[in-house]
Amino acid sequence: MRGFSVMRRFFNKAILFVISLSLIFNVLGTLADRTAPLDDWRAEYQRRAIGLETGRDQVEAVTLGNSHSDAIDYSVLGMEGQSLAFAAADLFEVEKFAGVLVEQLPNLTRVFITISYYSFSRDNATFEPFRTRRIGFYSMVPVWSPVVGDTSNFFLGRLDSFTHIWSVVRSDSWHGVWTALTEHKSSENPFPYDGVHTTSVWGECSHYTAEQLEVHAREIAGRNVSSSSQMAAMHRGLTQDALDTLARTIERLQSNGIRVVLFTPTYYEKYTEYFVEDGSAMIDDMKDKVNRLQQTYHVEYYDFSNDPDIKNQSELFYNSDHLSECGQQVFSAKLLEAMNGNSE
Amino acid sequence: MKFNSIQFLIFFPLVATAYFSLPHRWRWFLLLGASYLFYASWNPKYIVVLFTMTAIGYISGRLLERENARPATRQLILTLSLLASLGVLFFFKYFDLSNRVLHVVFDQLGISHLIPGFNILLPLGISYFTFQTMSYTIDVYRGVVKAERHAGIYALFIAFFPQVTAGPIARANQLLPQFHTAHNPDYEQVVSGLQRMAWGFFKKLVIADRLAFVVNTAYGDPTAYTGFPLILATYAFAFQVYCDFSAYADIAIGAARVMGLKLQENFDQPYYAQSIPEFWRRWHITLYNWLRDYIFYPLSRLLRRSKLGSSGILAVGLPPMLTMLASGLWHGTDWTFLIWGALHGIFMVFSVLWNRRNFSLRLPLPLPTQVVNAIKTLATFHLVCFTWVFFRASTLSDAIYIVQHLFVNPNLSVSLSALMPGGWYEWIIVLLAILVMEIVHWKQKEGSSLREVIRRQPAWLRWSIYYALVLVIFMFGKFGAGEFIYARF
Repeated sequence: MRGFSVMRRFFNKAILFVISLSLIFNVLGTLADRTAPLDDWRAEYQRRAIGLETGRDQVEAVTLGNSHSDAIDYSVLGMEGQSLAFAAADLFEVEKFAGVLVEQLPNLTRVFITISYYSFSRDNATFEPFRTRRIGFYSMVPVWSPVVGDTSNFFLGRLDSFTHIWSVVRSDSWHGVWTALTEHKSSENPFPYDGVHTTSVWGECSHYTAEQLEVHAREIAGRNVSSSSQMAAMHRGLTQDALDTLARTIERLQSNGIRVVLFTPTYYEKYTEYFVEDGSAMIDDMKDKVNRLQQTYHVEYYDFSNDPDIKNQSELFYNSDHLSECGQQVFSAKLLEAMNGNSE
Repeated sequence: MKFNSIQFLIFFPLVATAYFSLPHRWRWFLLLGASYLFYASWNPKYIVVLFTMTAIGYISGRLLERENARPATRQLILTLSLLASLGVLFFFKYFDLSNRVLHVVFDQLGISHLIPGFNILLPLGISYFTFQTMSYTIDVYRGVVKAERHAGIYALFIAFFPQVTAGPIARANQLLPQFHTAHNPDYEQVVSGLQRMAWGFFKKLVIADRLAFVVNTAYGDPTAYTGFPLILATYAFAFQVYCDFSAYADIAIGAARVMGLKLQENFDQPYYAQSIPEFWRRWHITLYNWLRDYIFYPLSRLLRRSKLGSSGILAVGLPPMLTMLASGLWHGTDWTFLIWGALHGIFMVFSVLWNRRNFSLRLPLPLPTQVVNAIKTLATFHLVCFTWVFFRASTLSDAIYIVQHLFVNPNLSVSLSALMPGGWYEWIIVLLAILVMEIVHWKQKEGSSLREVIRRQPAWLRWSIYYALVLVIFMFGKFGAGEFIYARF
């Protein structure tokens, strides 16, 4: 009996502690999210999710993948489509997302999936700050089962979808909040664009200058190769798992009568040059795997990564691995032409 | 399942609650099931290795204690048991290296070598539970402990989840009787266990995993650096490895304590040691005690009885040297670990000889004892840091490069943010956290227990401290960073 009363005393206190701590976490998390949001893509994704919800009966095409997916401009393709690009999304997340869409979009006939150079070498769950993005994915996309072996992030993501408790854990260790509070930056746009806006033959374009593109290419290509290599080191057999995952995704979509189109958008030429320096094996592996998928599933693949008409036009690049709005139009026109050629 | 995972955060309270809810006679069953689940969550296939090691130890123990066993038979059983245990360890940990070496030798001799490499994953914690099995068998043979008759409790002794993956390496006479004793819930013990676990999480998540960025950057590509960054990364590793490993021990000891079980301490502020032998009495204590009891002492006795006597340099130097080499080999088959062990061996031998000859430093000025002790502590710390270079470097050539370039072109203007993303902000957090840790160490060194100090405070202050500690861990911890360093051994 004494043991029972000791346990009851302990449990009462423990429950009180956990509840009060959850409240404190929620207050602090809300404060942190409001003062210094960690990512701009959350707001952008929310906008897209609302758009998808309102037009769900009309949407006939979507783009899935990481931010490189935003290369497609559906007005050029002449389709009722929407990009559902998710910042840094890996192929495991794409599979989950595709599963949700098949059930939610009754008129979906075509899914475009981006294949970046490092697509088969990515598992966001393996380390920060990408793990936080995986949590964000679970938080924002209504998936109800985790990627295999990723229960804890799934749990945190679902928790994050209705509370701010987990916002207490920030990949910047509260540096952003500290800066915002001490330097009164909260009212400013926390993610200002540092490129230029010019008028060119393609229209009004927000883009990086050639110098900015060079600097960005060096930094981002190195970072992408390094993070992908580290992910591959943390996840044994990552490239094979990613291939199997994409194969399952294609199979599922095709079995629902949906045409799957794989594509690699155009990158600024310096980005490719810097990527090749340390990541040429990664690109070769990507091409080999896509080739295997084409043979097995007869899936279309369009590789525009080195398109000579786009790759060195600075006005067409928002930054070195993302096309500007002008670039998206040029790229989409070329993609449409290629798809039409393929159909014929 | 890692200690620093959400799964463990759910798993542990459930197990502890169920443990106290069950009558004593079923608790072993719960803990054994939980331990196998804990282990299998890493890789279910490798639970077979744990079963095998358990079977080897249990059967050997029972055979050794048969009343009619003759000395020669007992010796044979012991030998076979040790060979079997070491065989499993060798297969998983050393086979591929030996095979590669043989391949090179055979190639040189022009003979074809057909044994294929396996390239298999090392079972988690294999070095720990192998040593635990071996010490149990030896202790039963020596009559230090009685063989455990209850197969389930013996299996629990080998697989007990708080310590199966990275120690502390338990001794049979210390842990087995505790599984037979009924433990009533004790409020103070539960609280003290949780405090110990929280302290471990603080060291792991706030300090070790933050310093890991610095260490991984510099040691990941050492040839990109010279001078100051390499020195900084080496100091960082000294604190990283201590905080990481001692955090594991804190969490393991705390988790066991919550359930009323006492595990052996594994650390005693090692960086305050004034000599290398003292360092080893404070660092990874359970491994050092194991090596001392089963390698150092038997070897010393053997040498004393041999023609070498007890005073020759070989008789004095060989046991510590071989013990430390065994310690290096226990960590892994890379040359870097062997050199790390050899360096500690050399320092040990030097220290033993120094003490035997009664050498003393003749200082030009009479210095207060405290200053002399501080100098000794600093010197020992720097010797240990030097050996960490070999322990941490990925390859021997990296280690040699780092040693050669520690003081070359001491580039003090190197950007701190190049070594640690987040720059000065992250540095301030880690330095403050280390300062807090050292204040706690200092208080403990003076004999005052922080737990007692907290217990004496009014309730509002006590709870504020708990809230603050948990908040600091969540706000400034690095989550998802990864495995404990010593779990890979």
